[in-house]
Amino acid sequence: MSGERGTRRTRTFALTAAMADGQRPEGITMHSTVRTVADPKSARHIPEEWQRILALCTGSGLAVAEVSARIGMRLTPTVDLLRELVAHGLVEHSAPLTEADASNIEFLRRLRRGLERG
Amino acid sequence: MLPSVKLLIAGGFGVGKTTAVGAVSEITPLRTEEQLSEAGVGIDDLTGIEQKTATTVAMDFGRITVPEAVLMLFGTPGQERFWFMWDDLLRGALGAVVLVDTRRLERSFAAVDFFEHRRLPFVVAANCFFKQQRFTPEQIREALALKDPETPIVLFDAREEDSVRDVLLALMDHLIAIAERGQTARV
Repeated sequence: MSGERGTRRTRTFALTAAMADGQRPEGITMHSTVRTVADPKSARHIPEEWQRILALCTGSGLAVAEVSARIGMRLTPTVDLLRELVAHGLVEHSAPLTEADASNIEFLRRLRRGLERG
Repeated sequence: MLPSVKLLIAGGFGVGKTTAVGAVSEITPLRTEEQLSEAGVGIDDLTGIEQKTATTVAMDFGRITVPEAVLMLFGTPGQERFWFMWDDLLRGALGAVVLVDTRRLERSFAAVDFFEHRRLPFVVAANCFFKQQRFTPEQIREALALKDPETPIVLFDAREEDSVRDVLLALMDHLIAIAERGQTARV
């Protein structure tokens, strides 16, 4: 999914949060990363609250928990809101670490080396 | 986007969770809130009382970006009794650090019990105030009655970045050791 910056179509009104109800929230959790994919200029018609999130999540993206803290909204409503933005093609989110990654020794070692260097 | 790695920083009230998250985080720690509905927690019979009590819990959030991932640190809320009704707290977590203050060890019992019960790997980090620690890691292990003899115990200073980083490195070593054992077991 990454590395396709700018290739994602904007799917305005393709889905609503109501339609997504009853499903798992598309893997969005407190530690998911969300990143803006829409051009904020082309999204002027959207609510101010959404625009604020788009502005926050530009660049390499932000953790859902961080978005929640920065907009002063609790986690669950923030996840609902982000799910709606994903459905509208305005932001994308990275899938959480899989079980396989979590027990992948090479990944863990790289992580440790990165942390040691920092 | 870099993969995110969720780590929990737990321990009882006043053991230095916020300080520890703040010491290593690349951003000023943030407070994230969640509302939980407390349906009969600690109450046996609610017949006729269908009303739920909503409770707001807060977590500290900090992060460390490394070339491979973003380590996301979540300082768990102090009220452990709420953890049991909050599945998302543990979901996706790679591991945890349980902070203990040896002057108030009992405040961290709940965190130890919780992670042992849920089988989330963790390390115990005992805060040393003014570089003083009256107890050895082995004494702390015994006092906490840790089930897994492999659970690392490290002494640290929650205010020192390098010291908190060492705790996270100890957690990584523990996770790597568990992964290696798992691989051996599968072969």
